Amino acid sequence: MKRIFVRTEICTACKTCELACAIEHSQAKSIHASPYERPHPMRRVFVEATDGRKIPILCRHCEDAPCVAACISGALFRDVVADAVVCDWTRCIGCWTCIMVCPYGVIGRQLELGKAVKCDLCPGREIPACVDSCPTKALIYQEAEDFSKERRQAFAASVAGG
Amino acid sequence: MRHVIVGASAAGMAAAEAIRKRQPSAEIVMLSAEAHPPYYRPLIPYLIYQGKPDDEILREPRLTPRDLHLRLDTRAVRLDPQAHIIFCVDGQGHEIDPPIYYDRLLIATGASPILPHIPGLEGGGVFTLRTWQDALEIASAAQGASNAVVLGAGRIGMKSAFALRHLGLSVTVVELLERIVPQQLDAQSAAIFAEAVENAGIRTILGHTLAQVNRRNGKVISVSLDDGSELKADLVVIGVGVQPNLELPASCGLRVGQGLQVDAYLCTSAPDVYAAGDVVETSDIVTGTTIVSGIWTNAVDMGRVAGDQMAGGDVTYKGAFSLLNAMELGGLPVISVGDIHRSPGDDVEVFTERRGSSYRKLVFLGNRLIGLVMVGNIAGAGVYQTLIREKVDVSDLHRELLGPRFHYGHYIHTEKKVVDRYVSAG
Repeated sequence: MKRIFVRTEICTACKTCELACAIEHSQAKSIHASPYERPHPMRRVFVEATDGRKIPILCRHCEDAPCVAACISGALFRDVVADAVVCDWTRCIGCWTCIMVCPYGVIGRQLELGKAVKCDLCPGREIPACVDSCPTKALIYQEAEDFSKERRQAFAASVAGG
Repeated sequence: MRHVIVGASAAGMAAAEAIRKRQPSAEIVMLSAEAHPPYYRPLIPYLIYQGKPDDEILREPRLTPRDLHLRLDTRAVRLDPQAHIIFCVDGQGHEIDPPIYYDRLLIATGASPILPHIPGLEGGGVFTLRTWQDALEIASAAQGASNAVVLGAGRIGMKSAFALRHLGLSVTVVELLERIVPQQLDAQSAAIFAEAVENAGIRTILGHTLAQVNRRNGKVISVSLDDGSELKADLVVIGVGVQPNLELPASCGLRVGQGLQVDAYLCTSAPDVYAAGDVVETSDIVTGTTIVSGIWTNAVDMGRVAGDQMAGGDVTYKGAFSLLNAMELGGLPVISVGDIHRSPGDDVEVFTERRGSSYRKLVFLGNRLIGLVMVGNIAGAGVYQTLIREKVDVSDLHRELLGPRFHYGHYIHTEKKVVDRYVSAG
């Protein structure tokens, strides 16, 4: 299954992914119309910077997800088709237990609806909106094995080259 | 292999799932003393004011392990660990024949509400809130009632109060301690919530308790407080905590302390008999003290470990949180984790910050974070929770943790520094 990976060294913290994410998860799906929607469109990816280092933080869709285990209303579950951890808003009661247990801090609150908001890997899209929009390709959507192989090769090349 | 699970709530279901994961074809029998199909216990306050359709309170089928032989209205009453047999009775108290054989047994019998000794408490009109049936009984009593008194301002007490207020009753919550939700809130955060509770039209009386429930012709008409004052009441809800259901383990002499005692594998003193959830005596993951936890998230954790063990796995249990709660009360969210009531001094450092109705409290012990309260802005609370749970040395993160926007990036960048140090040290 494909996952979203982050190459932190080429992220410029431009936050295009945040914008694309919020728009993708809106009704109008338009940068012009979406911002005026109620409930507010929300991002599921969080670009952070510390000490000059940038890092987009997003849901890892943990195999043994703490949010799914902790959910007290049966809202969070693993969608086996998308292989994604998703939140069923008909079930979500806004108790925020998932926010309390998520080790990455990537679950948000849709305040107008009182629902938990998280990455769903953009159902219906071949490539998630955040990845698709990333101008530097810091975000990539790939099989884990392929990503790790490429990283190993790049590292080996850099060592050999140096 | 036949696994028998006694209890169909958080711990039992998590165990069944863990067993199913390891053993796709093992037989799993689940016994529930309740006549009602499995449901999400934390959601039963909704039943009082019909805030949610019933089927959204019932356990989600996609989160129920497949091929689960569920036996409702079946109360396990006696255990023969040598013969691996469990004896049960039905709802009428008739013994079910034949008794049930197990290869591995999980005791996840949970806990029951504590009823304090108060004159007049026994009888109709006084309720606790633990089961689906309890919630329906409160709902039915609330019809035509105008005044409700809730004893205990803990989670259950406050949830009951809000539910009854929803129905238009005049509600008074009486709490012996000097603040509401005393386990989960400190004085400052409780003050924020006191406003939210007041705005919801719920009256609270702190520092007092019930001395007597007064009845006329058997019907509750009022309660008397310990200071002699009297409150009109058509119904009373008691929410002063729970105690583990130890009748079954006690029936065969399993080792019992404050709760059912287990080892690091969640195995009881009898072979092939495991335990998980509110019935278990375990240790506080933060302080190491002995506790019996009544928390959903802990119960799920224990269930997962016990189920894994029963199916031949090797996961061990590291202990429970005394406090690990998230909730929204009066439109305001709060998350509380770990040891939040420590005073500064003796290696303990306490940081608090209040902005409007937002509040944050961090408690440090030496180089560790041990406690967290977040009210209002709860973004990223799980990152702090993980630092507490994993006992991470946060000396390098101190400044970031106290800052307004601590996030996971701070943590992995610190990890990077650790790696850098390691590399530079050769």
